[in-house]
Amino acid sequence: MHTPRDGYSRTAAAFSRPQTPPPPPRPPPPRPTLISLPQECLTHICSLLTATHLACLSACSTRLRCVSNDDLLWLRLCLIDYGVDARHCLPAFPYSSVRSFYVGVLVKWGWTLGPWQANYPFFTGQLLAVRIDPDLRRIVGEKITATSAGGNPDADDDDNGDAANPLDPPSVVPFGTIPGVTMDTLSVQLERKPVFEVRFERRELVCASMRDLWSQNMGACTRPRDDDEVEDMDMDMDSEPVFSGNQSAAAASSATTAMVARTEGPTVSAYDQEDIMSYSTCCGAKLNTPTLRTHVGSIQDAGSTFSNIEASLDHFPIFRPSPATGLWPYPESSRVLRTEGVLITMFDSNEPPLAFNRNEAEALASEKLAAAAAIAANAADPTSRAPSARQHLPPGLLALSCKTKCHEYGVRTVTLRAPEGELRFRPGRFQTLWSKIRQPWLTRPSPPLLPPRMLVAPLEGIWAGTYGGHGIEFLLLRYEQTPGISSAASSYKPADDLDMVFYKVTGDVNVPRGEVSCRAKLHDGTGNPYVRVPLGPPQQVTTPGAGVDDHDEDNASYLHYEYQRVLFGSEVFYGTEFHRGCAAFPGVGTVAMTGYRSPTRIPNDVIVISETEVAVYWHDMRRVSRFVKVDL
Amino acid sequence: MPVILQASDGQQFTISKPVAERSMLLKNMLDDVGENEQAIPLPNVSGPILAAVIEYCEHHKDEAMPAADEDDKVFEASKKKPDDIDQWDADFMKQGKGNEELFEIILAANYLDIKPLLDLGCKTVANMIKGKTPEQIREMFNIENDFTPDEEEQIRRENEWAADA
Repeated sequence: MHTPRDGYSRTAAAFSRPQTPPPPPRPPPPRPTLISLPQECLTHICSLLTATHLACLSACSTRLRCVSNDDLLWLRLCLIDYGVDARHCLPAFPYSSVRSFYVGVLVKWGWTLGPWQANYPFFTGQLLAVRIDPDLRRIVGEKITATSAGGNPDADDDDNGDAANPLDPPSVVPFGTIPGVTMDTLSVQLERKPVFEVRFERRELVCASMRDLWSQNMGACTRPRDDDEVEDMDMDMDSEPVFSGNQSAAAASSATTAMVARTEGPTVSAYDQEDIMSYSTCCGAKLNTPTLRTHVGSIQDAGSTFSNIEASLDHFPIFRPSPATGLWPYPESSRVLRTEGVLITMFDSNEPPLAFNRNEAEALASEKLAAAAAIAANAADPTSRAPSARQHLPPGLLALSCKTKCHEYGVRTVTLRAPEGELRFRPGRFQTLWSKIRQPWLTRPSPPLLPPRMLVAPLEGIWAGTYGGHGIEFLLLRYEQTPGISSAASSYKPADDLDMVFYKVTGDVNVPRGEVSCRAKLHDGTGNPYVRVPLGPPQQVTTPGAGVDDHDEDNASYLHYEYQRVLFGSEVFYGTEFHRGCAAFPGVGTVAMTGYRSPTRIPNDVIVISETEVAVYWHDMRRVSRFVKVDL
Repeated sequence: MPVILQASDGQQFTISKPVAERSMLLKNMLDDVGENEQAIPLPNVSGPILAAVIEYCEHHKDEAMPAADEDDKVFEASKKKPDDIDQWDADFMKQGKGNEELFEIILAANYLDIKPLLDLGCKTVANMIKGKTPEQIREMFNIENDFTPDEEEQIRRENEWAADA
């Protein structure tokens, strides 16, 4: 059959002899159809389709199936839809085509990839990074912690007793020529502890692997268990196939029959391709308990878990991840307290009770309203939250459940009802929920529209910073519009109304996770070649805003400082002149008493050193924190 | 100096050089051959299709030529969106053109190497495919289902994930 592809070879030879009389009109070629288009045109069309449309097209005919299963098309989709360069992953995973990898790995599990923040513990939080690990052919979620790598040998020479914080770690150095101010030295070492794994194996191997895990598990998990264990067994059975083995007798007798039936085969999923199945394991990351061995656990999109929690609790303060950052807010602002005059305090035995801060609560309340609206708009149908490539917003909550309840925590709430003086204690057990940290820098036009005169712009993303005696904490850097100027948080204006904002991803007992640690207005981006050094203690003034760059009317602007300007250069940070000058941006930082009591905004200077390094000079604390961008 | 094009059915079109140069094929040829009063035969393009192609080139003759290496960057995460079609272009593709004309325009654009027109044609086809079931696609483009029952079953299993998405 005549294929147009042959007939349309691109040669100019036919035109090179125009002197010959024009050939007689040829019989018209057969009229083209979709499948008679040349390969490159079909591929071009396919490259404009999404994964699901491509799948539909592949089901039409042999030729279309061949064209639409092209590896290059699916490599591109891996990159566009999930930011995954599948060329590195494909050799390790047992799939024969990129399409199968895309469906079996990414469509099913891609929503888990990226950084997550846990809602527990309330102050310190946890940072979870989920990535594809081609070396071990798995998706792995790791809890990231940071320690300072090695001390600085000449750090503790001359700063003894100078610093404000008695819990100083040994590695601090003087900050330039400013007397009495010390700077943390920073060399971050990341530690990764696996929290869960998703493994990919051929169907015939999966049963044996899971059986192995279960039998290992029996030995490992016969530790003393929580007293509510027995009644909870029923709830867990959905996700928990187990063997009877040497399981604790009470649980085994109530549950054995149903569970054995479930071990016959792992669940088959529509996402399984080429007979490769995936299953998840929990790596036993329960806080404050001896590490358990890896055991079967299930990863869930926790949207429904979350609404269950919300529905079942009347006194637990309701809090949702911020729609802008995806970070959990400080869980303090009980609506009950405000409307009914009830005082509630929550305790986790490892942490101070949660304080109530009226100003924070009001700020949160408006954010919460926005969050509720956003969630209502996104999840019109909460039952169909199955992970899907086409979902506009990826599922934002993750929970991990396993038999040993590695990710449950207990909380005690204390309620004091004002008129009657009635005091009530109630314990509760909750599942740790992780919320996906929003990564606008992946979707935003890049680079973000920063002030024109900003020569060095720190990169948005996850950072690590020193917090004196609290050690190293993780931060999220975002550029945001200055609050109060415009409410459209997502749209960037080229103007000079941008703030550089560091949110705490992990926190401490003073300023908890999810709160803004510091915020600096960029103006036109030039910054200052000097830092401001207060000459004395602040004076109370009557006019708000006087003398301070920030306009936070609650706290800082009532304090008036006399400043001395101290020029500095990058030699402060490097010992020698760095290739570009540093710029300092006057900002405000958050400090609080233990338990996040009386949070206060204090002035600071945010010094941009490079795209990946920032220093924050906290005036009152006479201390300089160092922040550095981390690759998770 | 005008350029004369001759379609496969003998129909001749006289167009200006900037219009002809929207086609990389013609541009390269005019560069090589030099200016010439002879008609250039285009044996793979019929008269009505050539007329449409010329209409498109006339309308776009003043625009900057697209960068040549655009398509090489497959791995660049630049999302090509099939829905951002210029209004004139959308109307141009709609006017009395059935599927066959559409494919003939794609073929001609491919042959004459007119990248924006090829893009436009492919986007139009992609938009027709979007949101349709395989049966609807087959019907729309008159495609024969040439799978064996075994293959059909295999494809059904492969595509289960996409069904509820």
